[in-house]
Amino acid sequence: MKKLNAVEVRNLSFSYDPQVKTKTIDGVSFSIPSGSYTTVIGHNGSGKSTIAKLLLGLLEKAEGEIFIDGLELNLENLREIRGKIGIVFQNPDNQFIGSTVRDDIAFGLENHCVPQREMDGIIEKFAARVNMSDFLNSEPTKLSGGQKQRVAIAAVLAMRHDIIVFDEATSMLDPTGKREINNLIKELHKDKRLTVISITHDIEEVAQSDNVLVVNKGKIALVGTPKEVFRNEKLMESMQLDIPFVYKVRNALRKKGIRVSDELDMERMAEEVCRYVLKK
Amino acid sequence: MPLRFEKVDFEYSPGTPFAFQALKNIDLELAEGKMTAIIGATGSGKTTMVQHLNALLLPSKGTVNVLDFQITAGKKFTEVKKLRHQVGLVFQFAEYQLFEETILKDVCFGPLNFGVAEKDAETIARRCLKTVGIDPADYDKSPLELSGGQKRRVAIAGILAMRPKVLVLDEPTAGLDPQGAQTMMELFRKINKEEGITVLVVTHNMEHVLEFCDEVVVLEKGELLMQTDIRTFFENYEYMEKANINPPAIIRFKELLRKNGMEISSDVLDIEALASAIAGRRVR
Repeated sequence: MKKLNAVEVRNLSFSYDPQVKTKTIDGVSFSIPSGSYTTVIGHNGSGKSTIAKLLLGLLEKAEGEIFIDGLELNLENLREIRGKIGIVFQNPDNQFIGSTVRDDIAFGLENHCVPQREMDGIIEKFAARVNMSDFLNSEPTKLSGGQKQRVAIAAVLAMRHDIIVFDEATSMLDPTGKREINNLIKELHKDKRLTVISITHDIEEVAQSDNVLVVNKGKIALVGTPKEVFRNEKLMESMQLDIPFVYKVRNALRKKGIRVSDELDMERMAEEVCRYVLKK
Repeated sequence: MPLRFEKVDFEYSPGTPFAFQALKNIDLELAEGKMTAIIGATGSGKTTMVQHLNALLLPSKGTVNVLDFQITAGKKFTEVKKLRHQVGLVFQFAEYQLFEETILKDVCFGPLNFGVAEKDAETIARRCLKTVGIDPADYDKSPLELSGGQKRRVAIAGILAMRPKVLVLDEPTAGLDPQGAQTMMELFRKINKEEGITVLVVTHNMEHVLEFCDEVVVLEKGELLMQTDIRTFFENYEYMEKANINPPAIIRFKELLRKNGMEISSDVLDIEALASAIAGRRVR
């Protein structure tokens, strides 16, 4: 049997104001394989977050079809879809609902009528997965931004979602918080059971992902592996998107007559450069 | 006149159970006309320190000298208004500070408040809005109609309109996308170079420190850990690892080259220079 895509989108359109001619999302089609780590990049206002909200059914599409785990998203099965896909937003302060960490993780479970006697076990299990077991009774004001985001992730994990969307989940955190969350997401994705869809500006994160979707003016401009996407340098530049540092080095070296491979990993690139230049 | 901290302590809520000493014995001199980065982990005292520069916070001990002003612990400081005219402070998430009906009025507020005639205030405001790159067609719009990055530019124009001699920016690029952050930093560098305004910028972004700043001040748990020029700062790889600082990509790459047997001079701080240095090492 062919493995289902975690997300399948066909000809999706949407606009915030139907009076305006230009659509925010304009006839978009793409698919995201189950268990993949997919990054979504694009300039501000390109429509990245709008696509995420459409996938969750937080916004209602104008045209097209969305399938989550093979199930079509519509009003009848919205609840079922929300059991499959969850989202972590950008601002840690805007998504903490409970008065303690425990309450916050419990919120979603209560809404899904999880029996009380099971709830404590679930909360403790997922608090442990994000390394927040010691803070179960802490108030949000006592937590750092990174810790709040970890709680948000635990709350989503506790719902047993197969797919999690991270909408710039680290962009408001300090460098320590950023590293914490990036490492946690990598760790959660390690056994490939979870599909990660990460909307990000972090070019290093993009370089390490399985697939990249490039969104521009409400359309999908490029799809592929990081190497395939970054190969289109001119196009990336025209969309005001950055390329990874190693590719900039590679271009500068080429002008000096030194040709190196399209390796994206900085460590391996350094080895290659040294091997080539020092003839070791 | 330089900016000088002399043995400055600062304590929040002194004499209460919540007392917290945020600055400890800070001794620091910053030359005029430079662009200086203030870095350190969250809670290290960066914001507390810069808020002393326009007397939002007054030292618990010691003296802060800013331009011709002297703020000494325990002494009443009477020239707050004059000081704030010359030292502009842009808070984190400055876009939340906009309040006027139109963008132009918002930028005029500062100069009008300091007694500039209405017509002149408007001229100044227009010039400052131009500097920060706001389209003249937008001047009569409500600030609420702008994007986050544009709002922040308007807030900065509002500070520039007071024609400060010192510009203090507390995490001015936090939450902006990389391109927005880059243009914002370019703007500060331009203001620093072309108008000779001393710029202090609190930041976590080491790429920005490397590309735009002359000097770094590092705080740790309320103490001054070091003050040094950019080149020297980024030379010390071991320290950055120990202090949990993520070095800029080029510094990380040079360190990896070194581990593989290729030492590159610490003067090499951009990609072009790096490519030349690597090519120079070529064994034929």
